[in-house]
Amino acid sequence: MDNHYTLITGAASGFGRCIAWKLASSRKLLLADINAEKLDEARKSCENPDRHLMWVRDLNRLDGIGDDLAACLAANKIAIEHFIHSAGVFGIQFARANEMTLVTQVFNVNLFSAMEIIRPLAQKRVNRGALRSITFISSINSRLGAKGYYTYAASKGALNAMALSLAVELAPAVRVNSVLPSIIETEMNREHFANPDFAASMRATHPLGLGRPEDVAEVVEFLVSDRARWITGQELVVDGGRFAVK
Amino acid sequence: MGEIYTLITGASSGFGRSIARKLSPSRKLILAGRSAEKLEAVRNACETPERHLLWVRDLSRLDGIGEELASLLAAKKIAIEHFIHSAGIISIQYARAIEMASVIRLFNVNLFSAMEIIRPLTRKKTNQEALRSITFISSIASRVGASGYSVYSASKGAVNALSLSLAVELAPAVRVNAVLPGIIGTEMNREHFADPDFVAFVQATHPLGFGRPEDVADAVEFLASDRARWITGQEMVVDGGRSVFAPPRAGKADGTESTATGRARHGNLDS
Repeated sequence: MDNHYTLITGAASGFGRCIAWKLASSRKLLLADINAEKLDEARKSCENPDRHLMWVRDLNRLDGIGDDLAACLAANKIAIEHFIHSAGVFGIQFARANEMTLVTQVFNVNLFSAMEIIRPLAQKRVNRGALRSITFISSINSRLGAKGYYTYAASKGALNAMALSLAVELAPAVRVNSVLPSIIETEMNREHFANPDFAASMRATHPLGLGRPEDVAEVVEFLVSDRARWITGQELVVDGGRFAVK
Repeated sequence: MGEIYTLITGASSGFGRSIARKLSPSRKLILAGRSAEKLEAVRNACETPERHLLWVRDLSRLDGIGEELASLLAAKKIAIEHFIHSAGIISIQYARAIEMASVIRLFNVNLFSAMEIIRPLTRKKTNQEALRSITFISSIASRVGASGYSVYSASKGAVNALSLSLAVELAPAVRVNAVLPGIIGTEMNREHFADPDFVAFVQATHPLGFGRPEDVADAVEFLASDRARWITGQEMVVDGGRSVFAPPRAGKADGTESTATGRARHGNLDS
């Protein structure tokens, strides 16, 4: 439908921007991120930039996210058909020194903001029953233990489990899935990849070689499409064979 | 090193109380819970009540949990060898009506308070490297979807993933595991069990029949013992076969029709 949009959080960089590029030619996008300037750059680098909208919002502040989004939909007279939650922050924390402020930030952006966004999208009054799919960008860290990763891993494990119950609750109208990428080079971890040892260990643990953000975007495009119309509550691993050598 | 204790949160009722009673003959316990009165009653129901300690604390408020625990250990000159996080709350929330305040409260109790507790327990200065195991009471709700359960499931899925990375980080000194119970009658869900349809649903979906809190306590006792010395980062399902059981089709002649109805009404309701 004409006024139906696909909402992508974290759209100014990394996986989110790549997903935006992938979907821009076939869908109208509502691009969300914290920084207006970067978000506008991402929009302009999409096909048909004029038909995509922006929602500038810090997802670390939970207050009013749902109301903000509802107001945005009302002002633009649009509804959201697909929601892709790609916003995410990462924080290495060791158990003996974990700080609740960082834990809160990771959970606000990675998990709680998605709950705040889904509320209005699931309300008929606000989103007119338009919602068809929700896709979370999770991480294989939800299935794989690593030192210092437990806060981040917990937030992604929470996403996976939430997707399962949402899939049951919102069926048959809405499909809910998560994508679990292995480590892929983006802005978030570029400094790690600059280290030759790190890059070498990535090659050694990924039989298909290094992944690209496009590999994630391809899977998201599939899950959002009608080709995936009988797939819900699933975790799709995109890891170049990383698990196979575990 | 001072005397060695096992810390159990959520010890005043449900699984926590059952775990406390199970471990009380063999270990010294710190029983943690919100209500001093209820905790005292549990302690008195334990063997050798006088050797167990109480820590009265509301885990839905995070501020100062770690410091409070650290000063308790210092004051009593003790250290924690095993930590069992059984404190948990449930809140049915539908996506269209999620309230962030109760989401945060639920995550504080089920997840974040455990992180606050683990911090001092993994510090040499505070806990003298006494820690040997952490056991989380998770739930099969982290693996089975149900309407209204997205928030609760998320908190338990977070606990599972957390234990995975903690297991790697804290090895080889500390083992970290999660127990995932099926639906078991406790104070938390007593009202559900008052409904005959629900009872029929539970009976029909758990091939081994009704579970008891003791079934969970047995698994925890095992995981917190040296018999499990080579087990870490695992999810141990204790669900009477619930998660491997494909529910029968509705309308079959063997009386499973009511099961299908109960299932539709209650989803995969968890403890």
